[in-house]
Amino acid sequence: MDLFYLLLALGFFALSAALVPAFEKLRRRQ
Amino acid sequence: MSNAWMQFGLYALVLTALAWPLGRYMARVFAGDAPRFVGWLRPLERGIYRLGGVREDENMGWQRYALACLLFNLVGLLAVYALARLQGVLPLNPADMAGTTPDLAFNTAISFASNTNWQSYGGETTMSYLTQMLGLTVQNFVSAAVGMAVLVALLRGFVLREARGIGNFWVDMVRSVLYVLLPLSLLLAVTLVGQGVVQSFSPYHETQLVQPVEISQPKLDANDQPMTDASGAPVTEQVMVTTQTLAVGPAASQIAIKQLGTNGGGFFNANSAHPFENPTPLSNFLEVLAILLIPAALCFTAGAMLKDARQGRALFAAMAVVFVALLAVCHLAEQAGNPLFAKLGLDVQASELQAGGNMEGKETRFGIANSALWAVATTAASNGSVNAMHDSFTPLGGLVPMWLMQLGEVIFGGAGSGLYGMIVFALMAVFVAGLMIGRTPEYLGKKIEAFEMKMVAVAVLVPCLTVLTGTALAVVLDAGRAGIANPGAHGFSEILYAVSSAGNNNGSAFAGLSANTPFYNLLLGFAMLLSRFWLIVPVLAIAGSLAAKQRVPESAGTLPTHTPLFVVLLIGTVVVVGALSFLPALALGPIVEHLQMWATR
Repeated sequence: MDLFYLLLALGFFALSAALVPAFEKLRRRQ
Repeated sequence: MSNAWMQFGLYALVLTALAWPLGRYMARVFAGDAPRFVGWLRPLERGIYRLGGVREDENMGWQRYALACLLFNLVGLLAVYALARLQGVLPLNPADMAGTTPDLAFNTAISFASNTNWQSYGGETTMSYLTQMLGLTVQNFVSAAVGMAVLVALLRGFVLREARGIGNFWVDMVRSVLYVLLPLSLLLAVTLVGQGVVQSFSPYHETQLVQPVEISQPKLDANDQPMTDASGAPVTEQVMVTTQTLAVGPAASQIAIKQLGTNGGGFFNANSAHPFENPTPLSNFLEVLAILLIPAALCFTAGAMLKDARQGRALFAAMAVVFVALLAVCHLAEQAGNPLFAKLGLDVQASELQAGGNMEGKETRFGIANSALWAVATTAASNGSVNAMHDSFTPLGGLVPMWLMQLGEVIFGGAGSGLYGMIVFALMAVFVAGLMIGRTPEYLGKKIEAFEMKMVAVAVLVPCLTVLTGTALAVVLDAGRAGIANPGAHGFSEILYAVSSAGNNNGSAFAGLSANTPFYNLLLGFAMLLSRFWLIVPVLAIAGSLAAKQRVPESAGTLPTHTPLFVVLLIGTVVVVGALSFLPALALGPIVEHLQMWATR
């Protein structure tokens, strides 16, 4: 179970980190 | 009644008097120009940078700033998770607490790393001293500091011109902790100890009751399961209780930062209703003052950093107006009490001998005024500590704290997060005003364009979507409905409150909901993650975008953002978004409860 919850947390932060370059790309397009 | 308003007036006066100098002080700290009386902390600050390999002069772009922030929070979350799981084999555990379940550790780690401090557990029956100190208290400090750092980065976005960087995350965070949170917490903790708040490493005390009590409890079989008779009814036995366990621990040091850092997680389950957390009227006043002190002061920090004190005062005024209005509603609703009591012949009038009104779930030590003030302050700020049980408030009295959270925790809000949330609403307000007059919106000398508005939309919609979707899931799934203690409209309110609390990083509980289940620990855990970090990333993106822009000179067409007109526009924007998003849900919970109560009068 520990692995399940740790993977959930890591997955969320990986997704959040992926937002950063995605938003930057959006900004540059402005 | 007039006594209550005098107390509210005193609170507002002391809060404003302290917030102004503290705000100016923080502006100097964040500019790297800390006053001389804290100069002795400078070598310590440099030492921390050397130890952490931080280059103080490094100016981070918004992407690097955001990634550092995310990484730091992930590490903190994992540390709390490990401590909660392993506390059974770690030191400083005199009550022999076992490691928590994985879902509770997951929920708690997210809760404290995200500055929410939702607690699915009772502190004194679940957490060891080590977990409370090294896990929860440390996160209380650093999660508040993260919010303050993000705010400072956003403010720099307005100040800087054609800049690539928005500051250094590590430096902003270290300065928040070292120069602001630690000294204030030390001062408050020592004062609270003087008032009788416990601060001890000794094991829990077993004391003899002055008056033994006889209680009826379920009889257990050899496997510790409740026994039933032939008809299936539970078998009970009479037991004479002669002793009581008094939980103690290093509480004062945690309570000080839990209030100042807008965290709110209690050392004990009853939070600040517990006499060891909040023993006297003075401790109550100081603790409720500490809730709003830093968020209020940050408005003045903003004014100083923007080199336009009027802007900070306008933001403060907008927050204060909403706060006072909702405090009045909550207090009047609680003082009016339940009309059904009159039918039973109960005297609910306030007098010299009783507080009157609705005293259910409230401490007689604090009465209605101080319970209402705390409830409004703790939900206006994203604090979440309680000194009364919100589940027992009247429907309207309970609606106020719930709606304050749903407004997005921008009425003072969390340390840093409240003001950056309010600035997001200010951007929306200038955008709406720009649409009305047909000009490109500007705020604080920067043009607000499509990218900023997209980020504003993300920041405003994420908490609304999280709360409404989470509530909907909880009421349609068996696992969600299983936690309801009071079926009907009140049960819906319990769920809506819990998800609103987690989905806006508040952490207070309506109570009455059994939330320590894998379903709620997971649901509320994700609500806390989304509403914290999916706001921080777009806010930092706005900071980066604004910093890269040239300043726009003020012209005749510029909407002044320091005037009463703008304050009204800002309040209108916050209230309309909150009302449009949540009125239908509130109508199913507290509003219908209110109508039911008065209809059956």
